[in-house]
Amino acid sequence: MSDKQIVVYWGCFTPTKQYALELSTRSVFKALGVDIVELKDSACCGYPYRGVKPKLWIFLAARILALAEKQGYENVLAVCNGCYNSLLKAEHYLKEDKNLLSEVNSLLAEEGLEYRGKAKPLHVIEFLHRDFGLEELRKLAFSEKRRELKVAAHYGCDAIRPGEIPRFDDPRNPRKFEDIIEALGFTAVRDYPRRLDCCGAPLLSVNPELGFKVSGLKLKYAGLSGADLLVTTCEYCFEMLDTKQELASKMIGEELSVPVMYYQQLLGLCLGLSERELGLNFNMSPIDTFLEEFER
Amino acid sequence: MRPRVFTAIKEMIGLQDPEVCFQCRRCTSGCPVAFLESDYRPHRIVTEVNLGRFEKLLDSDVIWKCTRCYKCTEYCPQRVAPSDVVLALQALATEKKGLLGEYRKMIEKVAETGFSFEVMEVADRDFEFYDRDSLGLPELKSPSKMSILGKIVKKLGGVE
Repeated sequence: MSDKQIVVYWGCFTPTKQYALELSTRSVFKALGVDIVELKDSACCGYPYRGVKPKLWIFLAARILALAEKQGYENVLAVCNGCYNSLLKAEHYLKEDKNLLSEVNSLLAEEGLEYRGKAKPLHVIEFLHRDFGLEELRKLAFSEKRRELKVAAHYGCDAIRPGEIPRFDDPRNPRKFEDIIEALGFTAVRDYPRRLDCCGAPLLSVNPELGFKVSGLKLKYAGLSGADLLVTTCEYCFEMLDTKQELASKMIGEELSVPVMYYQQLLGLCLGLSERELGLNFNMSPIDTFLEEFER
Repeated sequence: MRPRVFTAIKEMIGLQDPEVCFQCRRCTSGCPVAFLESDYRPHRIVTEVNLGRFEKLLDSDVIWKCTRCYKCTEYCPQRVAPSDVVLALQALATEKKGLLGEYRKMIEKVAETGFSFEVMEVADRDFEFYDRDSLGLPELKSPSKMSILGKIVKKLGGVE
């Protein structure tokens, strides 16, 4: 790992509600010796509005990349899958459409900003797998005695799709999340039905009932996969799969009992960090059995 | 009206052409919402748009059932991007009827603070409440030129 400093863009939902992601990411990066730099003047990435107000979305997303560029960073790590895809897609459309670019730049100029496409969005899986490095991760966090514990990955749609825009993994058969799970010594569940399905979170603002049916469907199949734990890196996915698991269970009328953690929390446990440092007291899904097994 | 939706799709959101759809239904067969809701069929939405019969969709709740997972777009052999078609319909419906659901409240919050939500107090498993301060997290600051940003957000978000 050459660069031990990373600029992080937290988005909206993590710093206002999903504190466990911010806590665990900060704790884990510190333990890995990576300094987190805050992206100054950051605001919403606009992604929730890509349907209803596309121009607002493009402007807000371009603004984040323009800020990163102005503050001298080549990469900006977006912890939220939505923010990551928002920045990635905005970059794509601004490259394709020069009129859109000049329109966005005239608005950005009011804040003294300019989008030139120099700063690139980065995903946390990509960062750990490629930049920090799988080998380095293994060196610091691997243990053979975790082999019997099976961990399934929930990538989240915005991490991997649409594949027409190049991203960090194969959109139809991604494997890097499972790689960083196995780097800790766990057995990754490399496939299960509905593995690449949605958590339902984008429906929260307009049709939450349907959103929880979608998360219920996802959780039901994750539960059938035989995994001892389901992990994600995205706070919206976590909200649907962990925080609101009980609601999903009610909505589909079936008992759900799927232990869910952020990958950062799991990695933190493997690095010997405390449950409080990782915000594990905020997990609402039944993680106790997993924790007992893990500590054994 | 037909060129209007195509303009919306091509200029506002996507770059793909829905006209090349040959109704293979691959989008619908993989869609998690289509699995749950019998009236949500991405291939049918694309057809309605191609036939110029989408006006009634703008008033229907069907176009608000998309969970924006892009599976339809990913697996379409014609690169039609049904999800972008649905997003374009949402934009047109918003122009016609105004902002639905929580969107207005959220955009107003962005115009005020920069963020879509207010900092919340959150309960943990033991029902103890925490905020950023009690967790030792740094204060969440609004952008330094918030008034300039706020004006742009209000204008683009249509919440003036």
